[in-house]
Formats: sequence, C-alpha cells, structure tokens
Amino acid sequence: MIRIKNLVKTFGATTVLHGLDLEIGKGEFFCFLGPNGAGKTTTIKILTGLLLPTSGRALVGGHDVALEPLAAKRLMAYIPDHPFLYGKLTAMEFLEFVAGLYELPRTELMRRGPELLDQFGIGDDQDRLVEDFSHGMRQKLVFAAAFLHRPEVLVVDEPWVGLDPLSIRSIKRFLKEETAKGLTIFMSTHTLTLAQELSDRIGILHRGELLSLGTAESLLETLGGGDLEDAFLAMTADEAEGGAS
Amino acid sequence: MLGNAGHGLRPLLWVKGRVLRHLVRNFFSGGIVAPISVAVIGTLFTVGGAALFLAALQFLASFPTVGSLLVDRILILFFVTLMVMLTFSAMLISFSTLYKAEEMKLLWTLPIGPVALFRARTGESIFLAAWAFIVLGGPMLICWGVVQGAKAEFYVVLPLLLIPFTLVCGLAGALLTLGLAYIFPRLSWRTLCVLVGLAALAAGGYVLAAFEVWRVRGSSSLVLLNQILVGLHNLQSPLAPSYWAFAGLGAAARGNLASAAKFGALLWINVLMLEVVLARFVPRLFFPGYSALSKASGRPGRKFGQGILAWLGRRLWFLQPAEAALSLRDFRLFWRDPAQWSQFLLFAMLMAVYVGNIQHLPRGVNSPVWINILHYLNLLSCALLLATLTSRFIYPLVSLEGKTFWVVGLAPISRSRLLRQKLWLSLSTTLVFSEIMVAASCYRMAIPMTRIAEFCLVILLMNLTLSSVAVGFAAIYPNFEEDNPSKIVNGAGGIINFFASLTYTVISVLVLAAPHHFLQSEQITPDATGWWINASWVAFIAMSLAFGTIPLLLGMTRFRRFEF
Repeated sequence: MIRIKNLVKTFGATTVLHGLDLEIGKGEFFCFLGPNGAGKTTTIKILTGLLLPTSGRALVGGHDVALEPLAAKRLMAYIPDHPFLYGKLTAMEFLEFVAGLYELPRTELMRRGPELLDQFGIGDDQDRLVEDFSHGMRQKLVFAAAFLHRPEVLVVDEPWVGLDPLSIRSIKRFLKEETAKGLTIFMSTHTLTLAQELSDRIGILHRGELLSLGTAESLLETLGGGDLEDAFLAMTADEAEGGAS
Repeated sequence: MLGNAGHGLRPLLWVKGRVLRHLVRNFFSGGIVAPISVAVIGTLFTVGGAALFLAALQFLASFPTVGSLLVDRILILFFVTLMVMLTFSAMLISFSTLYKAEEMKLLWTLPIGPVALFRARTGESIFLAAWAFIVLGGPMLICWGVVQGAKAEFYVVLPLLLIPFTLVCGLAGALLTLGLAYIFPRLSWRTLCVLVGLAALAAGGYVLAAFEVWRVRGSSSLVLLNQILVGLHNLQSPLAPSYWAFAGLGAAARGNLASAAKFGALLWINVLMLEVVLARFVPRLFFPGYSALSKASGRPGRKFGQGILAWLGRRLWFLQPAEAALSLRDFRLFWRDPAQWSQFLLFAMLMAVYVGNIQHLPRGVNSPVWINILHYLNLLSCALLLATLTSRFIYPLVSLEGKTFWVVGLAPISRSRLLRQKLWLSLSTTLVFSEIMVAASCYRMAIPMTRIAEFCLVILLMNLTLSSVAVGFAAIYPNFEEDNPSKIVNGAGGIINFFASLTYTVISVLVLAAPHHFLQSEQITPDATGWWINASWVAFIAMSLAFGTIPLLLGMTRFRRFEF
C-alpha cells in the first residue's frame, strides 16, 4: 500500500534522507521510530505531499505522491503532531469543511460525522467552538476528521500528546480494529511501549538511514533480549553519546 | 524585582530586536528580487506620490488671494484624517497583538510585568499601525513645507512633532482597546448589542453632522470655495492632537520656534499623561481583560446547519464541493473574528460617508473640464478603495492557509484550485462593494447613465485584475508562519502587492480619463476622440491582462512547488 523507493531529501548542504527503501502492505500497522532529527517527519511530509523528494519515489496505493498527488491523497489521511484547528468553527462545522474538501455527500457527513464524534468521545460537544476545546479534545476531533472519508492509509505523527489514558486505550482499540478491516497505518512515535504493543512491524530510522526493520520480537532477538527501549538506545547509541558530549 | 509591573521590558525588547534581526536576514537571504522590488517600488511611490502632491499643492497655492489659505487648510485635513486612522488602526491591531496573538500565551507565563508587556506589545502595534502613514505622509509634509516656503527649522521640527503625535494617537487607541476588552466580556450579549447599536448610531450621527459642512450647495465658484474653507476651518478643534501638530508645524514654517515648541511640548506632555494612565490602569485591567477574553466562551453553540452562514453554504451549489467548503469556512472565520470584520466595517463606513457626502459637488462646478476631472476622481476613489480591500482582506488569505495545510494540503484538491477559490472569493465579495460604491456615488453626482455603466465595467475589470494581483503576490510571497492578517499585509509581499495595485489603479484611471480630458480642454478634435477612447480602452485592457495574469501565473507556479 505504501512504497518508498530510494528516497533522498536534501535541504541545502544537509542530506536528511539517504536513499530510504520501505514497503508497507495493506492492513499493516507500521511504526517508525528514531531519535529527534532522524528524518521521520521529513519522510512523513514527503509521503503526504507536503515536501517534494530530491530523488526517489513515494507511492501510496500505487500512485506516486509527487506525480499523482490527488489520486494518492484521496486514499490518505494525516494526523500531525501539533495540528492547527480553526478556533472559530464548531466541531461539526470542521467536519463539514473536511467533508467538502473530500467531496463527500452531505448525507454521508450527517450520518458519519456525529457517529465519529461519538466514537472519539466528543459527541456532546459537536456544536461547541473548537477554541473552547482542551488539547485532548482537539486531538480527538482530528482523529474524527481523519476517518471521515474512510481512508485506506493513515499517516500519524506522534498522536498521543494530550490524550488521557482512557482515550489512548479507546483509540488504540479503534486503530487495531481498522487495520483488521484493511486500513494501513504508518505511525511515527517516541512512545516505544505503544509501538511494541500495536505494530506489526517497526522501522528504526537514524541519521536518514533505516537501521532496522522487522517485528518487535525479531528486533529484540537480534539484540539478544531486553525490551524495545534497550534495543532502540543500543541502535542509536552514537546519537546519545554525541548528544552528551 | 518580579513584583514590579514594569519588570521584564528590557529582555522583551531585546528578544524582539533579535527576532527583527533574523527577519531582516531572512528577507535578504531569500534572494535579491524581493528587497530590490520593495526598495525600487517604495522609492518610486514615495517620490512619485510626493511629486504629485507637490504639483497639487502648487496648483492650490496658485489660486489668487486664498491659495496660501487653502494649502494651510489641507494640512489640518491631513492631520485630522491621520489622527482618526491612526487611532482606529492602533485599536484594531493592539486587540490582535495584546489579546489574540498566540505569543501572549507564552509571554503571560514569563516573569514579565503587565505594564512592560503592554508597553512592548503596544509599541509593536503602533509601529504596525503607523509606519505606512509616516512613510507616505512624511514626504507630503515636506512638500507642504516647500510650497509654503517654510524656513529650515520646519524640517527639523517635523519629526519632533510627528513622533509624539503618532504616540498620542497610538497610545489612545491601545488604551481604548484595554478598556473595551475589560468591559465587553463582562456584559451580557443583549447589553452588548444595545451598547454597540447605540455607539454605532451616535458615531453615525456625529459623522453625518461633522461632514454636513462638506455638502456644498453653492452655484458659483466663490460660494463653493468659501464653503470648502469654512468646512476645513471647522475641523480645527484646539483640543485635538491634530490641531497641536498642525499649529506647531505652521508656526515652525513661519520661523516661530517658540510657538512650535509650545505645541510640541503639549504633544509630549500628552504622551506622558497617557503613560501615567497606562501605568495606573494596565495592572488593573490588562490581565483580567485577557483572562476574560481567553476563557471558554461557555456559549451554547448554534445547532449544526442553522444560521445565516449555514443557509449561505447550502446556496453555494454552483461551486465545486471543495471550493464551496473553503469559501464557507472563510466566511465563517471572517464573520466570527471581530478584528477582521470591524476593519471591514470601517471601510464600509468610509464608503457610506463618501457616498453620502458627495452629492451636488459637480453641480456647483460649471466647467466641463472640471466636471470631467471630478467624474474620474470619483472613479479613482472607488478603484483605490477596491485596491485597499483586496490588499487588506484578500492578500492574507493564502498565507492563512499555512497552519492548516495538514488538512487542506492533504485534501485531494490541487493547489491551483485552492488559489482559484481565493480568486473567486475575492471577486464575489469585493465586487459587490465596489460596484455599489461606484454606481451610488456616480448617481449622486448626477453622472450620465452611459458613463455610470462605463465606470461599472471599468470596476469589474479592475476587480478581476486586482484580485489576481492580490492572490498572485500572496502565492509568490506566502508567510505561513504568521496567523495575524495585519502582520501578513505588512510583510514584503504585502507591500509589493499594495504598490503594484496602486500603480495599476492610478495608471488605468489616467489612461481612461486622458481622451475625455483632451476633448474637454480642446486639445483634440471631437472627430479624433473616438479613436483616442478606443485606444485608451485597448491600453487599459492590455494593462489589466498584464497586471492580472503575470503575478497569478508566477504565483501558481511557485505555489505548486512550495514545500511545507
């Protein structure tokens, strides 16, 4: 469902991605780990069409994001780490806006909008202005908006900020159910326990290169036991040492 | 000392200075096109505008007997206008910078006293509100000095009077905002509506009464001139800062430095007095007002699908769903942001005052040459208002998409289509106001219907062009980091767009007016007029196409490849 082929991205003299290769199948829950500045957000931005690759390709559902952006975007939804929402729209008006962008029929909006708001626990607040929402409520609205057009691929950048434990558990369950129905999830996170718990496969990115790719178990096996945090720190040790020096 | 309300001003100013330094560096590091464009266009406009103003003042000064008096009265008109505009602008901008800016959420958490915070942010607001007036008004005042044969002292005194005058107006505007932001959240909606309604009525009544003097009803040139002079004289209230600046500069021009110093001191004393008011009331009112405005509104929202805007949204069937969704969102955000619609209301009020007071003006003038000039001056006024509308309200729309590009940019709509939506939005809104203004003002001036139709067509074409200019430059120079429309407009791209819009507007009206002026002043024969008129229209359409399409195409190309 997602194919990244020899992806390179440079900003001036700095190369952020050095020929990244990755394939993620339909219905797979993929977690992307890496220290700060590893190139995770750059990969996500290329995948979602917000950045153009210097070379290489990123394909979603067989569509090259740079060459056929609209076809690729139709299949995708994106949840950024710090989404900006319009404070002067109500939750339902925001969903109406998103529905318009994806050209969904009004009947679909009226049926699915309140259903999703209920699903994420903000159904009673559908007519309140977003400026009155807490951070967690905003995050839930972003989740609801992402699922409105029934995406086949969900790209998520550190989605847990601001969510309470109950909401995290409810969203985790929802995401797993959706992957069982065929949704492909590409998630960047620093929460290693969640990555271990949720993902089918994990990729560890460091200095723009994929250091490791496989299931959580295979990663731990390669490093001779311990937990994912130990594995992660072992693989990216030079970064930590560099940072400390 | 942390308890001091003025604590923290120095580090705050330091950090602002560093931010400014980085902004300037970024501006120059982005290539030489933008800095050179701003420098060249800015210089051309300042020098060109000053030259035009000089010619106009020299023309007025050449009137026998009353020439010098007329030039003198122009100065008071200048200062009254400047005072009103500066105060209103400072009110609106300080509302954004003091209460609505995201930065305030950080600043309130730091050990900065409210007075220091208010001073620093108000200084920023006054700069944003005043720089354009000063840059354009300064050369005009120098021209005034040249025409009046002012002594050298005048040019030294000029900045010494202009600075406190700007500070008085800016501080007054910011303090008014402080008071209103404290009071308004404490009122119920009903009381608020009644108060706003009463204030609007009182302001409207005052404006109409004040401008009554402009309704010139004479039939002879002398009566007309006398009424204009009386009207201008009535604007000189000795209690207003505009009068102090006017009187101080007048005294300096005559070489009376003692009198100039007296008025200068009066202005500076008022700055200090407003500082005392600020120091006394800011600690009591600033944070409570901010807190009241920041807290959850607690208002029950209107049920989804109800209300005028929802009704309007259902009537955008003629648009593609994505464009309709973007337009409806833009209407909603505009309608719910007081800083936006209050500025628009100001434009609408100016428009109403202009249309309401233009009556009979040409009837007092018998010369066909002057009648023709007045007709085209009216067209120019309407076109300039249109240019201001597109520059202030349409230009920021592209940049404002930046922070929400995670949803708009991810949606399956092309970036060109996004720009086309901005173009449509601009046309559909500004066209209504500009066409009403040109038709109503022409009608009140008793302009023949054929010419009214011609002017309406001109405004339609200008609307297409100016909207394209605003959207095009906005896409060439987007500022996706800023969410304050006033600041976006004040950026390099905003300035280039404004000057380009003004250039196009002024040249277009001159080109269209020229054949009629030459005919009335018998410089061309009536037989040749048709050819000249056709040629002027061809030139106008060609210029509209060039001004409209070049920035738009460049903008679309750049915007398509823009990275977020």
